[in-house]
Amino acid sequence: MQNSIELYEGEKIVLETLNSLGVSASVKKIAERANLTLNQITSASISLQLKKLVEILETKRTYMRPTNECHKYIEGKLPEKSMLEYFMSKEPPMDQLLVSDILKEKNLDLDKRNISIGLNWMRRKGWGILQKIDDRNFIVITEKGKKAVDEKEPEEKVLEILKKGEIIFEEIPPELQEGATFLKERNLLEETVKTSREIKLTENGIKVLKGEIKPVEQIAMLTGKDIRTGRYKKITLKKYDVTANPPVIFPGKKHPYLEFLEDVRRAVIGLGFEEWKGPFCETEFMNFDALFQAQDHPAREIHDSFLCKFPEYGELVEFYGDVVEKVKMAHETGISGSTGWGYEWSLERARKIILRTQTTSVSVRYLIEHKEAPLKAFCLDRVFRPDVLDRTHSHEFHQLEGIVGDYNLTVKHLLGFLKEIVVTLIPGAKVKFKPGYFPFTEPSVEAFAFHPTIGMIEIAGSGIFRPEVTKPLDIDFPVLAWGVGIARLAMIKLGIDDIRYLHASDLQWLRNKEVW
Amino acid sequence: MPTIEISYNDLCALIGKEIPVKKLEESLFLNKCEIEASTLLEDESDYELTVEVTSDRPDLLSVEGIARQMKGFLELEPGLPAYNVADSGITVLVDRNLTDIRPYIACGVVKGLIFTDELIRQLIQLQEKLHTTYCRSRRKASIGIHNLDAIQPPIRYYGEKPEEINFIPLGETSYMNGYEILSELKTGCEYGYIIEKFPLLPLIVDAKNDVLSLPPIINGIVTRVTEDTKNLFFDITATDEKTASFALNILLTNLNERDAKIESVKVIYPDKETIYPNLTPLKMNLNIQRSNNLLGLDLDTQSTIKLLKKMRMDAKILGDNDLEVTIPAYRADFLHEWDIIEDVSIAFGYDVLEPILPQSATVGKEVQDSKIIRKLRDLIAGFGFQEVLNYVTTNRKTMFDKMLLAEEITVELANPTSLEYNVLRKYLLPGLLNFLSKNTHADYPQKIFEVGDVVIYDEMAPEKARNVTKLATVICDYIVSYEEIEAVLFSLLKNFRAKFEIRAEKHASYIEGRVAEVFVEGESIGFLGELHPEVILNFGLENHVSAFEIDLSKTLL
Repeated sequence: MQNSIELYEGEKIVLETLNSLGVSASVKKIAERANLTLNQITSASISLQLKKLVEILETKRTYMRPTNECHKYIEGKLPEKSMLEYFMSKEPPMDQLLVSDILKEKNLDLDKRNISIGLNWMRRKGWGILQKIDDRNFIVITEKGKKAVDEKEPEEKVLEILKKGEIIFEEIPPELQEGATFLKERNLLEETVKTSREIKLTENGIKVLKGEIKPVEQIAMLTGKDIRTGRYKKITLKKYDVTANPPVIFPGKKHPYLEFLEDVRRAVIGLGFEEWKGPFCETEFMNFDALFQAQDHPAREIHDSFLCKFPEYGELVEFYGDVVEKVKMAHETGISGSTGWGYEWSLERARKIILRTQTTSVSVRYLIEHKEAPLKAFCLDRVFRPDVLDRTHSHEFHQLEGIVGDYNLTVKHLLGFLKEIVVTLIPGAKVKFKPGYFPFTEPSVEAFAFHPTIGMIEIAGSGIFRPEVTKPLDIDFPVLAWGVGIARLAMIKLGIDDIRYLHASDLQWLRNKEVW
Repeated sequence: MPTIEISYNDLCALIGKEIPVKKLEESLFLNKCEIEASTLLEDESDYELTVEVTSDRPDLLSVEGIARQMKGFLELEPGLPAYNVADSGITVLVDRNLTDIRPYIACGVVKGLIFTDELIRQLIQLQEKLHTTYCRSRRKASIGIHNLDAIQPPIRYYGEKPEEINFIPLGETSYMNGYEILSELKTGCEYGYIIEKFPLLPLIVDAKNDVLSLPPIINGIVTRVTEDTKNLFFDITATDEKTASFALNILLTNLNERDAKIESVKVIYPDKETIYPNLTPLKMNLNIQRSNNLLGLDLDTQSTIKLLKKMRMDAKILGDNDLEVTIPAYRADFLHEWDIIEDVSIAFGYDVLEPILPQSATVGKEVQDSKIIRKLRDLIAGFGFQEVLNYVTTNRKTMFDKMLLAEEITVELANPTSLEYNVLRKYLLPGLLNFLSKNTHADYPQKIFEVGDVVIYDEMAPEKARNVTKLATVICDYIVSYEEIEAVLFSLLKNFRAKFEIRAEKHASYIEGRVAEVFVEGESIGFLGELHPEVILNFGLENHVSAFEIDLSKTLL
């Protein structure tokens, strides 16, 4: 039996802390009690284990949390089950159904995508067979399917437990683990594995604490005092494994998407543009009317812009009376040689408050305040559209928009500028132009960029502001306007295919995202 | 933008010349069309082309319209198309009781059609696409297509009580009244809202009292179009006469590309008589100097006229620099001389128009706020905080309830797409805590911040609300102290030369005795402290949190 053992300071602290906490404790608890970091405790524990003074018991816990798609199924049902139940609840039960008819079933509360998911899984679970009868596709419910209506599958039981939040895989009954694995493979659950370490004193460890084995101090850390006093000459320092991985550190970093926007902002300033801002809550007037978008224009419909319930109406006449009068004329009878739209323009409609749908409203604001040529202004900021958030749609996204105003500007300049902007944003891109349509510009041009690694993308829309737009603002020179859907470029640049990651709620992703 | 499906063979047949797919693709790209996909059919006999059309050109929403445009653009048949319109002898009598409901009806007849699968497909597609785009989902106008030979003129267009209406709608087997049609038919449910608010519903009937249509919902079964139909009758009912007239012109002239004969119909309104269709070209003047100035070109009169002809227009010389341009009656997109100039530039070709960079000298600069915000963010990142970016839209529960705050006035949306996002944030902190709630498993300490705009109600602003830039900073760890967050705030404010003071204060979201209010030059800019455990639990967090949120617009910006 040995009578003495070498211990360094950290190891001693862990042993003593363990003693004060009972025979065993988690790394986290020891760290809290000893006021040391988790890494310090872990590394001391590992070396204590080598000296057979403690045992490290590792428990793996797999946390499974539902994805957005899964939440829908937790509140309702899996689509294949909803469909099965729906077909079987009909009087008499429908055991064969024309696939193209399913979409028309009014009471089946599933969208097209969910129906195809449901059909697919009915087939995979053997509940239904896809059959061609008279050249038309039918789904035929099998005997297994008929039985399955009243049975609860393991995955459905798991969905029930998930109502309370996430689950820990190792802690649910074995018969449900099959269900959880199934849901995970179906991308309905995301898993995070956490290993917790429990440190337990061994008999030898207790002997050290009781003084039956004498600890001999080993020096792990060289202190300033050791150096100043010359003590370093007398002691032997513990040798490190200098090739071992260090602890991971996370620097404070700016958001990768905002960093991209910052690069874009600098590039545009470099082209001689002045930045301008405007409010998120905007009158329809600034967002649409001043841009000669008729009040019955489809873009002004309820499903294309967010309307405010509160505040509902803004004030125009007292702030922008003169402009309002001229815009009204542009719409009703025309201005500057235009026939106008020929309808009765409503001031009340123009006063309605919406969330701006385009940064073009900011260009209008700039032109209300700046009437001297030459001018160049841009806005890089958020706009809002009533889209449901998913992989490719967002109800909030950023737009980059600029205007260039000067006497003697022409369509050739419009193309020239557009090309310059595109090449600035995607160096090395080839640019192609196509006639486009925007209610506030004429001519209107769309720019397509071709890049060897990206392929062809529609990148910018542009045009010359119509006289019906500039005249009411008392601008008497052509104003070129261009806009870029910057979110799409950012996604390419950041290598992501899900627009939600621009507003990522995943700390780990942000921490690990390379800055270059 | 609307997308249509057309057959490549059909298009070439209508153009009268076989044009390679590649060449066609390039030419359409230079007009207001784009081939999104071309699919070779299985038997390799034809290509199915998917074409996206810009929404200002409803006349291009069928293959016939595209062919007509191409014949001009490729200079196979330049200039204004000519139309011969005979009188069909049919009259439509419009009742006064429709004045407030759907007062206009434009009608026309097409005879001598040879029905092919492609014709039927294009006609139905054109009707549907016009409905969804130019006719504003049938609100502004709607189109009925009938078998002319099943109709006995004269025709009557009037308002009828829903309970008095009785006919078999197209696709149904039994008689239905107005109420049943609005509530039971798919199109009734979809478009019923357009007319159900009126006591009378619009109805089109013939001399035998057979119902042609209950616009904008559905046609009657009697006039349905079958394989044996030879002649068509069109009705376009509308709230706006111009829209009705243009939609009719597009339908009739597009069919004319298939050698059909167009015939007119007399509509007798309570106060006037109108003959439809009116295919008289629109006349507008073009000044060649102004055109050249806008395009950056130096085109003479003859070359300008040649380009106009490519776009199916004609022009008469008025003087040295002025033209009178005649525009085909199916073009609904001319309001201003600039609209003609755009057509000149399209005809010239965006592939040959030379891009040049303007010489305008301007100085680029950012707004002062952007500069300060950038320095601020650099500094906080330097303290070891990760920046996050949240949505401006949020919900009351997150912003007030979970924070233990009483409800406050806030901007609210009337048509949110999700209950999670139905108000605008006025604080950043709840968004940061919400962020932490999704990251309880990530390594600690979790130090995050956000600089961003919130929106507050403002009685004095024209928009009744304004953006305010704020900063919120949060530390979440097993143990967090007040001092730790206070140190960050102090260092930050000192770096910005702010004259600040802090005072002990109460705040429902923070622990009493561990919260302070921050003042800069006497004005409150926000709070700092350790969050109340109940707030921490409300967000489902597992560790302690200290935080501050300050308004940057009041002092720093």
